[in-house]
Amino acid sequence: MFRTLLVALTIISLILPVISYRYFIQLMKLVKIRRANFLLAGTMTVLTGYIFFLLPWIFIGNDVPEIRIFSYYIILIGLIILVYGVIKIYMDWKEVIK
Amino acid sequence: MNAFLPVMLNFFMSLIILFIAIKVYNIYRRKYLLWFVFALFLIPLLFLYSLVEILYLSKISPYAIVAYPAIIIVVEIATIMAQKNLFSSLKTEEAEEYKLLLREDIALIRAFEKIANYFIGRISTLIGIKNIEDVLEECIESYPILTGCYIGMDEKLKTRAMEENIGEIKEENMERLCEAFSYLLTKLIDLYAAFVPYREIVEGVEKEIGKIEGKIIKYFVPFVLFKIVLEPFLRECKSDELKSLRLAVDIKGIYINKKGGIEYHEIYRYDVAAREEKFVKFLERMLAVLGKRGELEKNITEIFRKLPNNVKEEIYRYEFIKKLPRGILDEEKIVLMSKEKLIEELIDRKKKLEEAYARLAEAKLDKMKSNFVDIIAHEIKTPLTSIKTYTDLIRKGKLGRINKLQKEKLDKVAKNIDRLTKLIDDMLQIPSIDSKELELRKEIFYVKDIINKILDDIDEMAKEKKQKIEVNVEKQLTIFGDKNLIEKAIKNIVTNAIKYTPEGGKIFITANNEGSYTHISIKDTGKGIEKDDIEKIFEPFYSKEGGIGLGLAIAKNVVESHGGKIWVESVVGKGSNFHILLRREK
Repeated sequence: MFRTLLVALTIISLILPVISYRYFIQLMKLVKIRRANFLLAGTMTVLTGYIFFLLPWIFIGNDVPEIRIFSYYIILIGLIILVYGVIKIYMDWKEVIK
Repeated sequence: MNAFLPVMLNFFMSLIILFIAIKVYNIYRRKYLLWFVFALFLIPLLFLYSLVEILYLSKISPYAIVAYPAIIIVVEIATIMAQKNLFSSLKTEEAEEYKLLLREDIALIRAFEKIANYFIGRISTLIGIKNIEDVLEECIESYPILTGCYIGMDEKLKTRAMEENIGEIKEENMERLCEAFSYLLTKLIDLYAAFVPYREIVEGVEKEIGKIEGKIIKYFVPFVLFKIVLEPFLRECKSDELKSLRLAVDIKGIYINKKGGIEYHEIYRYDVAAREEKFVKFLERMLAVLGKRGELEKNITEIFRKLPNNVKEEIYRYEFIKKLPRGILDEEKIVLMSKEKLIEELIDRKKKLEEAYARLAEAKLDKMKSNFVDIIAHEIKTPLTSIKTYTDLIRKGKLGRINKLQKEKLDKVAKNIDRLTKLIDDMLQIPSIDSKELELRKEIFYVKDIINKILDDIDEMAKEKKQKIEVNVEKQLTIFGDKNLIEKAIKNIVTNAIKYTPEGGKIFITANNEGSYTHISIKDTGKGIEKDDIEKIFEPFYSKEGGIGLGLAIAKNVVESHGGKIWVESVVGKGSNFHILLRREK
């Protein structure tokens, strides 16, 4: 029961980014945001970390501390990319918002 | 507990992102940003939950892990909502996002579409959709780039949004796009003008163009100049006047149709200056043919003045306005011209002020430098005098007997103390060199006297280098000035001549009468001075041979303080000739 619930939720949480990605592509055709690729790259990395994080639970049904730590570091890399991208975009926007 | 560090780092990273999002939301309150903030707010919470889960929950129940995908799903839904909101904001043309975020090429298409739809909306009630469809089809056939634009009020006329078909429009396509829309708008204006007076059309278009924001207004300038400023007058012309105009306006790419409409086909391929030139040429010929001098210019000026502000900002530039024929926008020409001159003057004054500041800073620095050297030199000289006194006392045996070797060494010490004292004496003159504040005790004296004294002083030095010094000085020749300083100046030059002339060389010292001046020349057969160095050798501390570089600087200052002149002629490899001109009498 626990694993079924986990798998179901994981599948949903992986389908939603696909929808989000479609919106993102459409938006990028309209919006003049440079460095949007950082957002994409950062989010993808975070998602990869998230998948690693859930893998032991889905397949073994238990936690593997090494994989958990590994996934945290992957998420950290993703977040660093995101922070960089967000700061850069914020600097660009500040000019426009003025 | 190994997971503690990455979790905390992740927590702080996500806080930074949240902080930036909140900052943007504070400045720019939009619904989609609120969704983003919500999504980003959950992420640090997720990491906090992670800590609790590692420490406590995982030990209680495996279901604790289910919270992760659940929270992620909420984050993702919030992100999608944010994107959806932003997307719909961009689609609503009135929204702020449209102006702020839309790409320039898409914004240009939207602006043209709006004007085209303005006409279509009005004409469709007069002639029906079918006729408009024909016009659109013809336009799309001539300009396929129009395919994909939202043109037409009816659903059937709407084609797919262009942004779904394109990536980024390149500059050359922007030109093609402007040309295509100009063609379409001309057709629509022709249709509409059959039903309403052209002035009414102009007013409507002006309103629509007035709403256009940002840089894209530049693409509408040719449209405004030809279709709004000039066409109203052409539309009122009789057919024979139009014929003459058509013959007179022989400008490539511009054509006047039978109804008085101006069609321009290639204008976007030219740069701004060339476009303006074409317009001015057109205007001049139109004025010549229509011949209503005065009245026509006045009316065109009025139309110019009524243009929307965004257009005015773009075209009211000095370069353009000054090209316009006399009688059109004369007042603006004067204002812009005076503004230009004012700016020029301001720039000029700013430059002068900056130069003055730089000079002041330099002068201050020089003064500081002089003061510094002065203080240092004085501070060294005082203990040096004491050293010299005691050395002399020891040398002369006043403080007890000394042996031969000790005396020899002490002689050397004394000699070096003398050298150092002389150097400091020279250094002490530096403030005087820079600020030219020499105190002169002027008198009339014979040149021969000081030359002889100098020769006595330097005789040993010249003999050491086996140099021959030839002197040719008139006996009765005088100088009016400070004897000691002038002697020092000439001695500096002669010493230099000896120093830079090789063994066995010759030095000539001559002095003669030149009107009210005495001309002294010191010539050597040394290695000479390079052209680039000639200007620099009189500067303080300029030395290429390792000396302190003060001798010539002092000489220059002394001569100039007396109102005289000093200069040098030199040929590399052959020698130098220093000239001094000094007043002979009072």
